[in-house]
Amino acid sequence: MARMKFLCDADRCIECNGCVTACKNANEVPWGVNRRRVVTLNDGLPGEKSISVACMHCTDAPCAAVCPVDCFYTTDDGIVLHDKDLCIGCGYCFYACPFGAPQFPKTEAFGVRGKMDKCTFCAGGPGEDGTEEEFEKYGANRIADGKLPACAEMCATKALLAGDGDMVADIYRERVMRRGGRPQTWGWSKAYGEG
Amino acid sequence: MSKGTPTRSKSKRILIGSALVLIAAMIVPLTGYVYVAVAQPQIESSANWQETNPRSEIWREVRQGSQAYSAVKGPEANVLIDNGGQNFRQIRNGPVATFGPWLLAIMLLGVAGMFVLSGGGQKVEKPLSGKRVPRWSTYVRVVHWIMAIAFLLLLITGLSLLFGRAVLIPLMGAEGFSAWAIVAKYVHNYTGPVFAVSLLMLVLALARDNMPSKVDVDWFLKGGFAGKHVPTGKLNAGEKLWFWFNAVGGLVVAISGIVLILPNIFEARSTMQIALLVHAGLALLYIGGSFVHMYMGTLGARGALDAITKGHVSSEWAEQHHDLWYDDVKKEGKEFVGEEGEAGRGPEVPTGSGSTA
Repeated sequence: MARMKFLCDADRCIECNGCVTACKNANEVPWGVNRRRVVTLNDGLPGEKSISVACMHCTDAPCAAVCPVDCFYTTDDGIVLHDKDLCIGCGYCFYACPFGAPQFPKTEAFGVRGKMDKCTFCAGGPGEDGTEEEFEKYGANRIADGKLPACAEMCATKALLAGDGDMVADIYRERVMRRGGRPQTWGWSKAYGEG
Repeated sequence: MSKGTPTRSKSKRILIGSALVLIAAMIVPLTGYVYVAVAQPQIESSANWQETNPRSEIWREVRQGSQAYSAVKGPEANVLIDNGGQNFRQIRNGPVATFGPWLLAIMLLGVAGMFVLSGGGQKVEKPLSGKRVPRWSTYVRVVHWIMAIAFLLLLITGLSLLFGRAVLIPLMGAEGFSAWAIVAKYVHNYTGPVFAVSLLMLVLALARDNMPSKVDVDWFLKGGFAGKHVPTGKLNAGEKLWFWFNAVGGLVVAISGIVLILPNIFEARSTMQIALLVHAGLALLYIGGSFVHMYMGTLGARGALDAITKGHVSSEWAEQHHDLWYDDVKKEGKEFVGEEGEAGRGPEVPTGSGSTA
């Protein structure tokens, strides 16, 4: 089986937020919830780097480890999904996740969290694939249709790669080789000097 | 003779010259060391790019949770990686989840041990004469029971959320436990503030009675904690210890809990991580302490329960457990005759204060 992974090539990402928009459009996530976001380091300075981040579908996922109701599961493709019928909206997964992936609609009194929402690698959720109910709760199930996540498919500069870890690694390795040398020597520093 | 002089001076020059050549031949190779000594710092400084490679510095800073920019707005959306989550996970699923049940089990066993060793709890030694003394005001009793009911609700729901995954999912199934956990979450969230307010009211009402005194030191030194009767005032040192644990530990549990139920105000993950660990860790200690409190109030010291249900206790109980206080109350003439089981027969106890004075 494939082991699904995301990889964002920080030397290609131009912070267009196309992946964020593609994700919102494909999954029709509610207002205030963003499953994916682009973070720009050293914004506006020489050497600025942008990177698109969402759930990284960890092998040993911290969210799953701290969940009081054990609603997380990992698919055969290595995608970390959760069952919204079990989720109680406690927020522990948000405390544990290093990437800030879990999102909560704050629609109740005192900002009490609703059921958690996060990137599903466009793989829907538990239950039957491709149903209206699945789309309502979890968004698109493109994996069941044999497609890759909308964010990576939509990426204009092909910075965001998604798919089988081996293939993603091969594509990235080839890029690095073509750029000539070790990762430290390509990109901005090679073109414009240090700093 | 004049012929020999140039020859000799010539040979002398040859000697000096060859000596100079020899010395030079020996010294010149040594300049290599000088060259290396001068050039070394330059080589080292040109190698510094590896240490200050801006590329690797960026990713190193990211691991420290550096602030960046994101067009997406949300709690800490501009932080790429938050390392604290891993510590939170390891402390919650490690020491808290491991030592918590052990602590509770040890406290329960300890209480059971006290029950057995004291021969089924301490009973009032003298025969009851029917004389009673007032102990707790209506205000204190009402607030105490609001707090106690809130505490029990919080205990059941809180332990469900912490240990339900390990204990209740195998019993109830994932769906069954989830349904219970949602109820538990709301009960816990809305009972918490009730508990916090009643705790604060009780702390303010009873603080004066719980001021430590010299008698309390004797209580510890003479083995009051082991069940020996050491002269005490209205509250013994063990009860005062429990009060001050409530006042400090209980308020910290309450405050950290209030932080946790207001995610709109306290957005930072680090705040929530620390608040949850403090809340869970201290609450487990609190529950452990409450076992002793519940035991002492019911089976541990027979007759003590009247104080918090009826508001007055038998004079014999007062004399046995709180002799100094009993003497004071007797002197003030507050002793009255009432029958066991008939609450409200006693004189009106002033409200608004914990002291019976």
